Amino acid sequence: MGSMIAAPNSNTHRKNLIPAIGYGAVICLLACLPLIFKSPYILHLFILTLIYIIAAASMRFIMTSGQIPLAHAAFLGLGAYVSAVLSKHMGLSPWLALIIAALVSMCVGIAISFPFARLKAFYYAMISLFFGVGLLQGIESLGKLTGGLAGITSIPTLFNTGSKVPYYYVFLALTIISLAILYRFEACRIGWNLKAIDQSYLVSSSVGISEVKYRVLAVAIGCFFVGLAGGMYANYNVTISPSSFDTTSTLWMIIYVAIGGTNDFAGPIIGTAVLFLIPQYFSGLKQYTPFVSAAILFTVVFAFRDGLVSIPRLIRTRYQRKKVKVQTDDS
Amino acid sequence: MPEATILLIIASIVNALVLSSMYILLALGFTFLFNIMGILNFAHGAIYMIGAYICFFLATAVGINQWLAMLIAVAAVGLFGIFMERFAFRPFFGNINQIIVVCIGIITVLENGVSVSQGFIVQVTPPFVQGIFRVGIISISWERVVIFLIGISLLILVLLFINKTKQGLQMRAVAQDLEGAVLQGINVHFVSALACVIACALAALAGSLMGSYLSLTPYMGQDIMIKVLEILVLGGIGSINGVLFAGLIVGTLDAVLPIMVSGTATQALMMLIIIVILLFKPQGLFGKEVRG
Amino acid sequence: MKKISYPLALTSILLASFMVLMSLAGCTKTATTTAATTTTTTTTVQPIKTYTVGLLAELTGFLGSYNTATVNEAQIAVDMVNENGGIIVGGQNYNLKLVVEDGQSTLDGTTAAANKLIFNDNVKIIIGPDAYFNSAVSGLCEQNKILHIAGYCTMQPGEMDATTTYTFLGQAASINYFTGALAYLKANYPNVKTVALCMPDDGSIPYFGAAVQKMVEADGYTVAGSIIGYDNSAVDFSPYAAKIIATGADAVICCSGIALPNGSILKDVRDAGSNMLFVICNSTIPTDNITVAGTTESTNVVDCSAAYIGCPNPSADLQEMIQRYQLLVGNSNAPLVTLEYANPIWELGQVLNQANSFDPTVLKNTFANMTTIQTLYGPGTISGQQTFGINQAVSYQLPITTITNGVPTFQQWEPALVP
Repeated sequence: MGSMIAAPNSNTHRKNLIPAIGYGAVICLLACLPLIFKSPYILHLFILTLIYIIAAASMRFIMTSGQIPLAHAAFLGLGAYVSAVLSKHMGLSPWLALIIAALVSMCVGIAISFPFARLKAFYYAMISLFFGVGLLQGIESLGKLTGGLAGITSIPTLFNTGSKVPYYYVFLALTIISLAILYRFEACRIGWNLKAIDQSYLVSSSVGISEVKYRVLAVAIGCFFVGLAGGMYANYNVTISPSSFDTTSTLWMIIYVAIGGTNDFAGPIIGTAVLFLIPQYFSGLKQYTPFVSAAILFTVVFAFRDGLVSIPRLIRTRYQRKKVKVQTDDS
Repeated sequence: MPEATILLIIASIVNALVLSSMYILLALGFTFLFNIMGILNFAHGAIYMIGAYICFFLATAVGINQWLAMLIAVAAVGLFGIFMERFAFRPFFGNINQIIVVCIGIITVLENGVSVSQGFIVQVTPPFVQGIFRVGIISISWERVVIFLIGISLLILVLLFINKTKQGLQMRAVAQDLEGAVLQGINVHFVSALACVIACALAALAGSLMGSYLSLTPYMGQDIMIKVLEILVLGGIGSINGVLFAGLIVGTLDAVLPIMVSGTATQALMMLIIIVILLFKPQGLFGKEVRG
Repeated sequence: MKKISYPLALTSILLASFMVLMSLAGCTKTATTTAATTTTTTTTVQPIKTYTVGLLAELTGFLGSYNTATVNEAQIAVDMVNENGGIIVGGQNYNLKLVVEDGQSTLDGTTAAANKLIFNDNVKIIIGPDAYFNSAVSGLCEQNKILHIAGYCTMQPGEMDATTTYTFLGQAASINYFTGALAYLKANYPNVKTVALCMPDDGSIPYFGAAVQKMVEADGYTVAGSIIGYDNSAVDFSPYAAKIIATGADAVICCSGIALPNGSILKDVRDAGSNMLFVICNSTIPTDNITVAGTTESTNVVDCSAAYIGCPNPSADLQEMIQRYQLLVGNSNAPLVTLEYANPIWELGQVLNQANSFDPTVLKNTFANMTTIQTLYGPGTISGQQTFGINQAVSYQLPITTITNGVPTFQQWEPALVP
């Protein structure tokens, strides 16, 4: 279902019908989840998964241009803190704070990416790493405003009911919309240009693709969505603290994308769902739970190079190979 | 109080020198591996931590002399470097995402394994040297002097190794042009294994020393990673020579800034300074200019 | 098409299954230890019901190994409460039982764990958490009317104040150690006129630091310079030591924190040639500070800490706890941790029996109206109106230790009352 993005041609519309029905079925299933799982704790896990899916998908979008945003969790944190401070200390409506958080995150992303867009993508990676750490340290040092290491509590929530169900549906809708927008960006000319820059900046600039413009654009779009996810997180979770936005969190986001499959749009979605939810299932192991995550990492990275999304394809090709082998044996 | 200020300035200079050398010691293995093999070994901190714990275990539970324990820890972790190169780096060479995944997996297993088995008891490796060195109004513990000397000598040793020995020459060849080096008949697998061994050994040595200077915690590796990355980036990609100056800058900033501002603000300021430096010289102080 | 490397895949699957097996084996190991301690209690024949209480601990992350030990102590406290007659509510006997959730040493992890305890495990009483994580839990408990007995308080907004009526502080938070040390300092070191204050820069300086500074100045001391906040994850603490020495104060007080930074700062101050009086007040035991700082550097130190093994005349309950803990750990010299979850459980038993009800509102009213309560360290007082804004903190005596040349010497039990 989450196949490679095909070049647009005349057959695409017919081919797109089956995946579209598939997607529709999945969305209906997801919409029914709160009716199956009544426990607020499980809903809480699903809501967090949705937030991280947006973050991972936006990270992967930046990665298609060849840059590795090692500050992504810090931007998630930026969105969260901006939304928290605006809605708590300045009394703005949480919905408005959400949008502003996304915009601020986008602007800061552009500001960081622009001076380094001309250089090798590696430099953006290192700069963003330090920027991420510095941003977080900066947030921590503004004690009175941001609560330092202890974070902010009592952030105004998006809904006034105690139930998690409205959050789930709204976040599901936001996730689907965000993913759809990201998919459209990737499938259209912008996405193709980004991939061209990733492969060879020399060739792409020789055909007139401005690497600076597209790299900055990739970062802007990616940072917008992760800022949005951050705001969603703050106004849902009521409490935020710097420790959830540190470099380790960014590295885990990269892992979500890599385990799911970097070359596939569905990669971050599957990677996040698997790596976030499965260890929660094993949370009864208490202090041994991290070993479950490590086991998943090693298994996938050694056995499935292209990530978890490649499993159906691998099974299909092995089956086809067997079929061909049988046929040639018979002849 | 002018005397107090003079004391403070002298203390800051001493701190800056010792801290610079300490950071260079911590970063040496990491920068070495990256400059030679292009591998960002995120698990460097975890290996540093394991080296510290092995040295501690040997020096206390088994009861041997801590210098000998350090050497054994260095050898053992160095051998682990061969294993890491073969299974963690070689299969994923060039694919930074996969390397991050494997490194995080290693870090998770090591850190949580140590945390679960060791517990919370405060543990410190027996000191390598004791006593305080006093000259006039300067007063430094011998431990810090030893760390300083070891840091500087290791840097010189690594530089000599890279520039003067045959294996070092082979490593520079591999770093410059992998295919060319293969065509010249250099056994790339051996070279990269050797580089990993040296990197892990350096990390373990740093860990053993720091295990007695600070103390041991399962997460001690995480605290040093950011300093190590700062030195790598400031020093310059592709240049070990930059490590000295990067170490000096980071060490001096870390010795002087806490006196002027409070704890977390120090780190934020340092990041700001580093980003500003990188704005003007993105390739680091000694790195090669690269576009793209 | 990419080829799957079979040997590699096989080894990785084996490795993964081994890890999972090991995890499960570890899981059963912890299960059997807790089972071993609980089977000793239910030897009576009458039908005793169990009542489940939630425990929020940080079992993974930087507090992980520390909290695993304190959870063991908490389990022993539960056993001791059950063996001492258990809980009698409405004429029915109850044994307490713990359900433990992991806060992962992060604020969101703790929030999630609190949600899980309240909505999934349906507890009405929560013990814990540690450090500065109470801000995540107190508001939630207030909203949902859950009795909350915290194990620590760093005085950040939302942790415990006039609005958190369901939250109590059952264990000496960082402030108790400070008041104890300050009282001892005032009584025994008349030559000290100026002090330097030192604490981790973790966001608590505007709150905890301000409260501490007010107390110090109220006692007639001058604070030299501003509060020195250090970075907990620093690799070297010498710059902070230099800063402390440069203040020229007669004494330096490390108001909170753990052994690594405090011991390192002590070491660096002494190595830099200064013999200024060094006061440490936090929950780590003096021997840990000595281990980090070294024996020659551990001198001219006053330490106010949690009751550790070696303090004379501990209460009979504390002796019992120590014996059982050492038995559980299998080490007759194992040091106690801080009892930060065990003490609240001990107090909870009394509150439950006095209130004769499991209703959190009734419990909180009963607790709030009590003036004294028994703790594992001996009799405790309930106070805290001036410091926290609400009279719901339990204070009890704390040991004062002086350290000379690496040797800790117990001095006295200090009342350590929190105003």
